[in-house]
Amino acid sequence: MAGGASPLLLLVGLAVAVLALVPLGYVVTTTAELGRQEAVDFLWRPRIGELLWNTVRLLVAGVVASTVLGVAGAWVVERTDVPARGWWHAVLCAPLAVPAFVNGYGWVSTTHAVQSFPGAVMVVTLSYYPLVYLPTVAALRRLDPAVEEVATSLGRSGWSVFTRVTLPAISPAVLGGALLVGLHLLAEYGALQLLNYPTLTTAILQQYATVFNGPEATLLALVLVTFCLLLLGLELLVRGRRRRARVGSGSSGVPVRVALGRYRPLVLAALTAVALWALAVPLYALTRWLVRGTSASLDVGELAATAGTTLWLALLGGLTATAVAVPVVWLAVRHRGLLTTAIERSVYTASAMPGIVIALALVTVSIRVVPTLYQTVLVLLLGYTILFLPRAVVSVRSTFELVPPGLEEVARNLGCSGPAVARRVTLPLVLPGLAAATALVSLAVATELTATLLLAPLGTNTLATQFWSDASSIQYGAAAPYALALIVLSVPSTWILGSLSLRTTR
Amino acid sequence: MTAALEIEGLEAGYGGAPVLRGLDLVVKDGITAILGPSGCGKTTLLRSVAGFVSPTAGRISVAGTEVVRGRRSVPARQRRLGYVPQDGALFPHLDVAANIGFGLSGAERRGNGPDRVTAMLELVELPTGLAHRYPHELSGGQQQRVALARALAPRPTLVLLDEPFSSLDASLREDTGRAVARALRAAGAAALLVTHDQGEALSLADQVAVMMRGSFLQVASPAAVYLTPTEPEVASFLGHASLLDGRVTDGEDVTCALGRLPLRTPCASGAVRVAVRAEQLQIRDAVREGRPATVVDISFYGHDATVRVRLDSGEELAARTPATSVPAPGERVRVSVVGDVVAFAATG
Amino acid sequence: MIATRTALGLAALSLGLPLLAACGEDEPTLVIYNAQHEQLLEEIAPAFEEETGIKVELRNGKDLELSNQLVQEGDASDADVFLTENSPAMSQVEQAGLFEELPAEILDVIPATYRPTSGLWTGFVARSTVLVYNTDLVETSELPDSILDLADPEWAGRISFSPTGADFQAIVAAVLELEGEEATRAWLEGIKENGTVYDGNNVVLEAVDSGESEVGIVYHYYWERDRVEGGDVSDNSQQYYFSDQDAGAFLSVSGAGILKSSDMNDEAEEFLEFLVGEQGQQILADSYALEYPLNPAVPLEQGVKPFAELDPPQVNVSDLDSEAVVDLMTEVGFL
Repeated sequence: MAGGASPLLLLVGLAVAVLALVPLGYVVTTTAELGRQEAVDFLWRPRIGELLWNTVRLLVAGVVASTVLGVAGAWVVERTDVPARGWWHAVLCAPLAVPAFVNGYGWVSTTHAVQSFPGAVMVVTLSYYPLVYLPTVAALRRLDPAVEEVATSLGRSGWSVFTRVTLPAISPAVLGGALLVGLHLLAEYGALQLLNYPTLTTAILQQYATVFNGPEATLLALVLVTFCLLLLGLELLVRGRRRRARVGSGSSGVPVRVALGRYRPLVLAALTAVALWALAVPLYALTRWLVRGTSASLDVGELAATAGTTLWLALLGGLTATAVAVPVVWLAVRHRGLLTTAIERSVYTASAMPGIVIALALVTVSIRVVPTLYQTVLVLLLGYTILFLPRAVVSVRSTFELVPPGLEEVARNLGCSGPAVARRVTLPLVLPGLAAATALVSLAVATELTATLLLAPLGTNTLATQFWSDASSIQYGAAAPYALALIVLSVPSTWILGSLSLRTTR
Repeated sequence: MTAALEIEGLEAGYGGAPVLRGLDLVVKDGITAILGPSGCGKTTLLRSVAGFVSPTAGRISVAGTEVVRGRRSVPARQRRLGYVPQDGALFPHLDVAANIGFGLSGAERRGNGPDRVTAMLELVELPTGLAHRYPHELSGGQQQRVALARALAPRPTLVLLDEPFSSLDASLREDTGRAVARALRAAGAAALLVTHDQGEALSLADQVAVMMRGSFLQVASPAAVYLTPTEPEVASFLGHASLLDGRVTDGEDVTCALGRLPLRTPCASGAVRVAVRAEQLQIRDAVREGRPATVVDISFYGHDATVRVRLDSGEELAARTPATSVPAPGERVRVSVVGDVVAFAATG
Repeated sequence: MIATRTALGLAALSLGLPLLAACGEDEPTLVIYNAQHEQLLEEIAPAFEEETGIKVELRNGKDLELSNQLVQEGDASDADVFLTENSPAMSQVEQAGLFEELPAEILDVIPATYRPTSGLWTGFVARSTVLVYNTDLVETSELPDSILDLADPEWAGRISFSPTGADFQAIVAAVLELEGEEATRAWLEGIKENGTVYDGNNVVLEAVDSGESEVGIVYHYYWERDRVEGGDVSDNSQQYYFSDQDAGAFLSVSGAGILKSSDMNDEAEEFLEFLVGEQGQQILADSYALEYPLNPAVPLEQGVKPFAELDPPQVNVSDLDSEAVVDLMTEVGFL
């Protein structure tokens, strides 16, 4: 079944899978416990209709806008003769370093005009389009330019080549990015709360603040999770019908870049506008509040203490998620079988679980099953682990794939014992990758808001929750130093992702 | 009849470093192979013709229509050329029929009369049943044939092939190459075939242009470039000729370490370099006639073997011998030459 | 559930031990679940620590978040003292039977109106409902006599409030207590039709100040605090106190109680005594809180409308029912 994996390893893998399935299990079982009539009465209300309408239209408009912006940006950077290409790539990645709720704060503290549907679409698009942009750039880099050249030589215009050949070829990457944007939009709390745009997620938090983890919050969570799973299924469906196989080994030549010609000023103006909107506005707002706010009320000690707590939690979260990912990946890579694949898949279901649902599940499960754990850092760490495990598994997996079993066999042949193989061959090869996985998860933990709001033990403040407590009560000046710290913490992972997308792996 | 392709004084380069240094070439019809080692500029030449590289000087005409003059050029998509890149570059999201029909207008694709896609499949000798397969369901050789069918479908006068067989394994390479040549001839299209494989160039092409360092060394029929190379480099690149110092006194014969040898083409008197091909050298027992030498090493191929020997006078030579009479390394042998040789006036 | 237990147990074994160990404390500390404004407690807690030598740990949250948490935790709770902004959350914990009866020394300090007859908790400060209005957009003559009038069509598109917060829910509880369920439902439906919903009283204040909304329902101290701080979000607005014991003149009581589960009952009593005693109340009165101290010996000055001039309706704090309010507001569609 699992290709000779040790029972202990399998047990650990199963435990991780069960942990990852806690949120889904919670939603399903608690909903099943509710009376059907009660559930129908709660869900069949104008208020829920309003939340659904808000959520769906934001989802559709946000995903479409992010996709258009991300793909257009990637095409300009990779396929045209736009000057200073590297600089524009950096600029287009950079909004990833401004967490969406900080971006929302920057905008809402500048103008209240963004507290509307178009405003919400704009802010989330500016925050999340890099999730489409990055994979699209990487896909365009990998795409054999010969395919586009053949289409050109067969008499197709630039636009026709793009829509008929390039776009279908990169569509898995674009779709993947669009899916990520969709999942982020469904899970987004901070930005939309600041923009006073109620969605399912903001409503769950309001329910939580009013009646704790009552049945209403669970029902809303069920609706939200259904959306996420639908989105995941939709993407699988569309992706499944695409032929993705690369034909031939191919050599990546330098692509022929489209000469922008007289459109160059227009394109440069558009890129500048994106940069201004996505970066300059929030950064300007931040600076303005920083200058005004710090003189009045910056408690350096508190900032330092909060930063310390945040870094500590981030490090623990990163280590935990990576440590938990290792057995899962090891099983999936080295002991491929029905069971191990199921374990890996179950971890990925968590990628469709918004932070709020994971948090709600852990609050309920810990209170019901292990009350002593409730309100401890451990539950918070479990929350981070479930939330970011898919991310950790992806990076740990790519690391382990660097160590073909052949290497270990050679080492064994040269007389190494099992542990010695691990120490002298496997570990040195995977350690940098594990460190990178830890770093990526840590940085994500450091800026996490929604789950932290519910799971952080009373008295444990992170930069994100401290920022939130100030920003949501309109103390923009007091929030500014925390916003700055959050941006600083987001820069490294943005930089890593930005450079990864430029690496042409063949 | 206008030539399918005319190139005059073509120069191109990237950022100041010249890659093409004034090329002239006429392709009337048939297949012209551009043969040269990697990095000689042959792909840049092909891409200049295709319109993916902008030359810095010179002129290119395709079927009598000028597509490049100096820095002005017609966009790639208006040149009406067929293009087959290295690994075919089939559109992975389209089936075979849609790939072949990609360059056709809607009317041509649906049109009445014989189906163009089917005709193209037949032309490249593929079963029509493949029409609705996807590229990843085809073998490498089939992919290349579909790529050619796609290039030929819009009836171009000239097809550009960029190392089209290099990613195929040896057995497939020859079959696919011949099928491609047949299809090109049947379609009446001229072709420019870029390759670094001399066997491919010599066996498929009607004309071979040997290219090195951005220039053509020789443009002639396959037999001519092989038998009467005009440059020592052409001789040594094609067929592993060994080069020896020699001296021509009367214009008919040359004297070198292998003795007095007849010349295939006349040569001016004076110091020369003599090219002796491996298959011209005969290795015999030490007791027979010929120059004394010692066997250095041997590569055994089955159908024959290459024997490297060192003459007692110091020169090293490569000889091809039948598999049945292979000496052992270190053995004393005698070396003699069969047939006439080519000499080039020594430079410098 | 067994599977879940196993998973959590395994995870706890693999990563939890050092963390759990880190949570231990050497010195006994009074744990206060605090739903009052953090800044308020950050003034009074150090004074208490200095006065008594008892260490205080604050765990901050929102009214119903913390009350629900206390109910969930039951006997196992770490909490010694619970402080809220509004009384419905206190009632919830009281009904769950979690409060220890308070001694007379504490209860007698505060007038009986501001504490439940049960004697299980006491009020310690109070806040008045007000209508903040934008002075450019609203004439004083237009201001309504009763908060119920805001449901009338003439206020369509002009009002704002923060229905998701416990503050507003306390006001609804008062309306429900005074006017009954039918009238309250009609009123809620009316203001939902007329109003813009924001999350947070400061946001309402800002909306009124910037003219996005003409009037807003909040408590008095939000506007007063902002005025003291420089008027960022109050310089274009004034506040209007309802009178005549109107539901809109509702005075919401912030409560304090001691948990039965506390193993530091004496220290907890000391804290409450300090909180309601003259010294503590004076600190509150002088602080930035600007809420009304409930110890009659300590007046709130600082330019806020004097306590004696308020004309609130008579509401028994024990009768404010948060569950009925949440149901009603869910039904109307605020939640």
